Amino acid sequence: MALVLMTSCKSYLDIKPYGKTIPKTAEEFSAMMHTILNDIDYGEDYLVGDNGTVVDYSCFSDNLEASITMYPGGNFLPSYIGSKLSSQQYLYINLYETIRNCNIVLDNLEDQTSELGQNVFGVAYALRGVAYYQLLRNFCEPYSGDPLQLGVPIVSTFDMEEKPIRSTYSETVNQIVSDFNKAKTFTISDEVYRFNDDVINGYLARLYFWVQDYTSAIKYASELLEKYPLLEGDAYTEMMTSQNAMKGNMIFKSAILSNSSTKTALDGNKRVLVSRPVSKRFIDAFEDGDKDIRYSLSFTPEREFNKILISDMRSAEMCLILAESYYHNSSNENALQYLNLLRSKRIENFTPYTMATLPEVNPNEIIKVDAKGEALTPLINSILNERRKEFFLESCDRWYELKRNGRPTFWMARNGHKYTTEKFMYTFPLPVMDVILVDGLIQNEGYDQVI
Amino acid sequence: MKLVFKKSLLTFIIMAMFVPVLQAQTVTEVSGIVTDINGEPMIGVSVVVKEDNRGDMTDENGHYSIKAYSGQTLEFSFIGFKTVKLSILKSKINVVLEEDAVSLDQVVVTGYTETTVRKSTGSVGVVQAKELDNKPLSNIDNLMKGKIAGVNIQASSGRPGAAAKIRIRGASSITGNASPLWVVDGVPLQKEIPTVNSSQVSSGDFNEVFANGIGGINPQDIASITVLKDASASAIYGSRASGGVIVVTTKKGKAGKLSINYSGHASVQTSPTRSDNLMNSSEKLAWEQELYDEFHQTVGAVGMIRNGVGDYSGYSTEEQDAAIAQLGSQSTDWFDELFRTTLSQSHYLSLSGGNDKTTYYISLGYSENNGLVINTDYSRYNINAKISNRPNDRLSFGLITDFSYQKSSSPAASINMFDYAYFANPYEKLYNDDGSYAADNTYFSLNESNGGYSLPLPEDGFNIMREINNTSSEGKSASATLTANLSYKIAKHLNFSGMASFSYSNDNSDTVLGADTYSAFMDRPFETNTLTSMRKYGSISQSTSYNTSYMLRGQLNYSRIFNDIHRISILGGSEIRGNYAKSLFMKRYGYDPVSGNNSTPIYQDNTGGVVNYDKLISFGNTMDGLLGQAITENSYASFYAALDYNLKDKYIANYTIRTDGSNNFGSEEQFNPTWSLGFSWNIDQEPFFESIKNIISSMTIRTSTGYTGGVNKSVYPNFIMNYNSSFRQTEDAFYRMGSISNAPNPHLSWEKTRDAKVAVDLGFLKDRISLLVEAYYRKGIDLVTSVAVPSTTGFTTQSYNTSEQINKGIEVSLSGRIIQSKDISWSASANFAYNLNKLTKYDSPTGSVYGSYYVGYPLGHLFTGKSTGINPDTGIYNYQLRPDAVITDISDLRDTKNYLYYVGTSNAPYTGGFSTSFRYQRLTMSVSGSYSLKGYILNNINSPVGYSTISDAMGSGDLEPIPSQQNDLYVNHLNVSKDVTYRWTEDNPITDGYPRIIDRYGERLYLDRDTPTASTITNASLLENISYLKISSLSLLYSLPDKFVKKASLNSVGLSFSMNNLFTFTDYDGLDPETPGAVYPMSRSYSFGVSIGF
Repeated sequence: MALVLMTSCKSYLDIKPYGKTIPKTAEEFSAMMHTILNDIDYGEDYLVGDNGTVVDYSCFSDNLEASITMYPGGNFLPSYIGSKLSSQQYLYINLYETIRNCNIVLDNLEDQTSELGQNVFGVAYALRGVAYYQLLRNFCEPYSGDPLQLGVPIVSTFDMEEKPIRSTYSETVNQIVSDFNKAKTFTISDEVYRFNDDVINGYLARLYFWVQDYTSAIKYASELLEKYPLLEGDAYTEMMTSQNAMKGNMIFKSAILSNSSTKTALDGNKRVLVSRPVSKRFIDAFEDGDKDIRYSLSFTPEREFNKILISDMRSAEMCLILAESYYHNSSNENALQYLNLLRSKRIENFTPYTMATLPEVNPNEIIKVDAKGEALTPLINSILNERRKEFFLESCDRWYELKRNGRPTFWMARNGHKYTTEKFMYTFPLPVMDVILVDGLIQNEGYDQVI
Repeated sequence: MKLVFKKSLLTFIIMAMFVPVLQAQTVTEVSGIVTDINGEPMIGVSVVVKEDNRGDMTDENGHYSIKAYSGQTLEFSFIGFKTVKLSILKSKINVVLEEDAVSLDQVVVTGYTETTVRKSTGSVGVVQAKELDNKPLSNIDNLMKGKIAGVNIQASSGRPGAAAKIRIRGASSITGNASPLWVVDGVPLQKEIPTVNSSQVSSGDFNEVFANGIGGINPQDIASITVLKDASASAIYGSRASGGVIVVTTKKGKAGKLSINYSGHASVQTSPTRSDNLMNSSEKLAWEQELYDEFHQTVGAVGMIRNGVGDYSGYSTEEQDAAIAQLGSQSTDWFDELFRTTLSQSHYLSLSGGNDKTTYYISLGYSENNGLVINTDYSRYNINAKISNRPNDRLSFGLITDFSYQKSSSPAASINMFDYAYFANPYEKLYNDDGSYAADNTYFSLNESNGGYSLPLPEDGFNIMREINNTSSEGKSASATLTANLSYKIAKHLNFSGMASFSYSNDNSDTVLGADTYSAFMDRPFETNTLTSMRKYGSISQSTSYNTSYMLRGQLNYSRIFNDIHRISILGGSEIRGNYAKSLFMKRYGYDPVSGNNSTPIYQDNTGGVVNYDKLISFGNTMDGLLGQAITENSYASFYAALDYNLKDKYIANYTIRTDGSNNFGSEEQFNPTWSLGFSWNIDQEPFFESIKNIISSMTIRTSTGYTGGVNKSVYPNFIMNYNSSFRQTEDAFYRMGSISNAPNPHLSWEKTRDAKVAVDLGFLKDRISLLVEAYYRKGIDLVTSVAVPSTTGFTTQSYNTSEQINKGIEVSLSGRIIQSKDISWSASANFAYNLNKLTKYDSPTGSVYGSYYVGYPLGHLFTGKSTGINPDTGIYNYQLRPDAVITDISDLRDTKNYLYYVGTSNAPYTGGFSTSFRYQRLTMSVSGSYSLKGYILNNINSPVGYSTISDAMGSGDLEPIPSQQNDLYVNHLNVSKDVTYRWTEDNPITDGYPRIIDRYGERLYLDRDTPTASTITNASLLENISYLKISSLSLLYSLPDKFVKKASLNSVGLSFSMNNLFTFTDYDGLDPETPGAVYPMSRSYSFGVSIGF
């Protein structure tokens, strides 16, 4: 018997999982990707953002007036970024969890040739790229051009033992670029995998724009703008009022499906967000008033927000990337042209701006400098302003605009206390536990005191 | 399965018919009677003619007869008695057998070998069958309580059939299973019920009362229980032995005429009495009025009436008084309503007999335990049949079939009945005047009457009796085990033995929630808003699981004596075992218990006839969650060997080695060698000992060390993807989703326990008194706990073999036969064990002291404050500052860490038991009990209501912190103990009573300025000592004199009366310190029994 045992031991003692598997095939690995994609479909993910994220980030930024929040509804809203900084550690943890899932697929899946294999590979690269892009935006300081600027730890294979320290900023950027480019080589063909070449190009445009490689940003943004021309009038309204369905010239959108629990969450978020009125500065940004189609699409006369809460990517963003990129590449003419292009689609009886007719910079606005740290000119001021109006309560855009353009400090008041959004708070803390566990892992500035 | 059983019975019957008949050639016929020293005839004494190995057994009169040549030798032997050898010189030989002086040398059954205490080096404890008698309502685990030093058995609840928690020499694992391995007749029990992971499964849908396999064994079938406590004894079980091994040996047939025994018991269990300390109706109303006068808040019915809440709105003062008087007109004792006194019974019938070649044993058992709680019961049916055959000197084989069927039913209410009985207001009642169920108006009303949102309740309100009567959970478990064993003598000193066993068990459970119950109301997936939809529908959850397990073992034994003094025995073998279990789960909403059919509700239409796609998807998901399955499979392969060397019965050495492979690990860590080495020295065999043998009759020193192991099943070495129970859906397809929930660790391996012990075993005065003292040190290494890992790995924690702990302790067992004569005998025994558990290596994944584990402290550690009593100025408890506290700021006086002390452990370090038995002629009285000292808990009878029950409606902001439940005004909404009325108030600042009652939402008092208010510290006031001493049984046995018995043509008749769970001496406030908290209480029972031998 011993002999029989010895010879057949290997398979006799194999791990026997049921309802579980040690994944090997593309079919099996696809299940891990579908879990992430399903979360994106229902808007329950960290990668693209759900309506709860939109609510939080809108409360961190200046389009809503935190100081006149109404209570008790406002109890459920973060007063300012400071009250949520600690929980932002989970964003880091969750993004690395996505990266881990992608790494496991990329490390272990051998089938790179079948259509399914290609799709799974492609989407794993794309999702990893998006995860690193989010890490870059949230956990690194805005691009400074300093070659020693810190990036995030790069993990490109699954290894429980590895304790990586932070890469440089450009290494992180290169990782993202390489992931997106690899994703494109696998040509995701099946709709269900969502991250087709257009989506990836859109992310590349965003990335290059964020890291001030304006020439590359222009390349990807213009391609997309051509493919997804701007909408106007009813088509625009329909796109901007459709909570779930992907309408119009949307390139990508999360929460394209809903179920009773996501619907309940959304209703709850809307109910409490009403407690924080739209800020007067934001309303004043509409120099064309209600002639601007976005005026009534954004808020009610009672200064309650009137917009759907979505995270998406659409061609207007590409148009504004183009405008700003050309501006920073010293091509004011092109910048003005794209600015006017967008305005022409939004404003009734539209009159194009000329360099001479551009409105003055409002000295009361909290953004004082542009991405390069230079004082605002009327042109860049108008481009930023246009972006503010276009992406009100959309994709957490305003928060990143503040971060990209000088990280202004501002404050809100509650219960007789003053809560100030400090410059360092735009860059979130790395998990404290990681800093303890990994020798040489540098915490972001401002978070060296652990309470 | 039934067929299998019938077949085996048939085989058994056929075999029994071919009992070989003994023929012998003769010269003389020798006969006689064998008696004990009291002159009582002895049955079943083996009488053998030494020269040619022929034999007989004595009959019920002690009579034997055998044909032999004169001059040959007759050998009379019986277990526990000295063997007598006589030459045949006459034809009538009467023999008196004396009890063996070293009859304490008990047989130790390890499952692989049989040896005796004197010949072994391990730490073992043995419980004999007679010690398990006359407790007809208990399972065997509870019967062993207090019997063996170092075996700590703690009932988890008084629910019939509920398994107890057993820890042998402390807990061996931190996160894994530290329970001992049960081995029944050589077969390790392997049962597992995999739980279905589905969105619609809620707790209580699976009836897991039978998940622990030992409950199915009839205690009356047990011949002995041997507990293997240390590595030397249990290393042969290798990697399942770190929690110790309990080897159960069931009764065997004895050669001789057919003997039939019947025993029956009828037991009365009395309902637990309500804590005298709870208020009755008028006391509670007066108390509420007192609080109302002081705080004017809506607390209790008085608060609701005085503040005009709901129906009481607009009442005049007279009407209010009348309403309060109306409530006070009756008082409900909820303990009386929910608990009852019941009658239970058990019956047992056994048949056994055979000759020296074949023996058989058949038993039938039935026991019924009607629980204390209404609508609960448990019953068990057992059939056990055993046959063993020895056709010739070389071969013997046997077959055991064991069948059991257990049934348990109870209500399935989602509200904890015991909490309810404790906290429900006494002025609430069960029935309205018209006999319908009365709604409880206060249990759920605190939040709503204080302006918060209403809790969802059915239109008819909540009534506990409706929950009990209209919900049910019924579990059934059938299991059958077939075991065959064979032994073949290959050569003079070499023996092969083999064993094959197969078990099948099937567990079913049905949980029904009646449509009109609160439990069903709270489980309605098709209602998006439970507050507005009052639609009712019930449900049935059904699950079925089956478990098959097998074991195959082959073993060679070589034993030989060299030069008459070197006794060597070697055994080596291999074993494979495994189990496969599968569960199916099904739930149906809209269940109709009358027809057994169901009409599944759908989402209510509120969109004007348009089918809402979102709801359709939700509906589909709900339906998907109603069905599910789960499967587990385990397999083990093992190789083992043992070497025993015995020199002149004086010096004994034992070495055991085993290696196990498990399918739980990757190939690198597959096999785990465990071993043990032990020495034992029987000093009394030394010549120099002779001089003191009159006083110290025996003395043995044992020492051993070794390793045992354990599999922690909560972790895996590979990354394993779990498929989600739902799918990613598009309009035309669906896709599987999966996720990885546990961090894999390729270096994961077995948990190991390194074990060392020294024991001294002493016998005094011809072993009338015996004393055993053992000291042990067990170090658990490579224990699996969670470790923090950098989140860049994609995980934040990883379970890994990183922690270490020690268990060290002393065990003392003392027993004596104090009086031993024909008419009177008295014996007593007691045992004591001390175990110190300490975590010696552990990295907290959170870095916090507030977790479950902390280095340097035992596993059940309690960290809290030390109270210095009630501060007469503030009325709240103050706490002692730590000597190392540094106070630089007033906030330091509030800081939890400046007050934190280690106050004790919830695992009592001192445990033990005692028993004594006194016989006068035919009447025997026995008393036994157990004790547990220095165990503490933070009393966990938490009120279901309190200030936090009230939602934000009363405003947020700067509120007065409430130190503990005792200070909270709002817990008085439900019933409280009478003690609260003697309390601190500003007018009466007493410090020897109850602390100040504080209104969280009232005026800010700033009592927290310089006192900690975190529950970590303030829980100190809830600390309870759960030390106890229990007289767990007192029994009287009377065996009828032979002359009456013989007249009725019977063999023996015994009558018994026993009282179980009789007294508990404790300072604990609740019902039972062994099962603290609001759980099913242990019952006191009185049993009357009769046993008859035919």
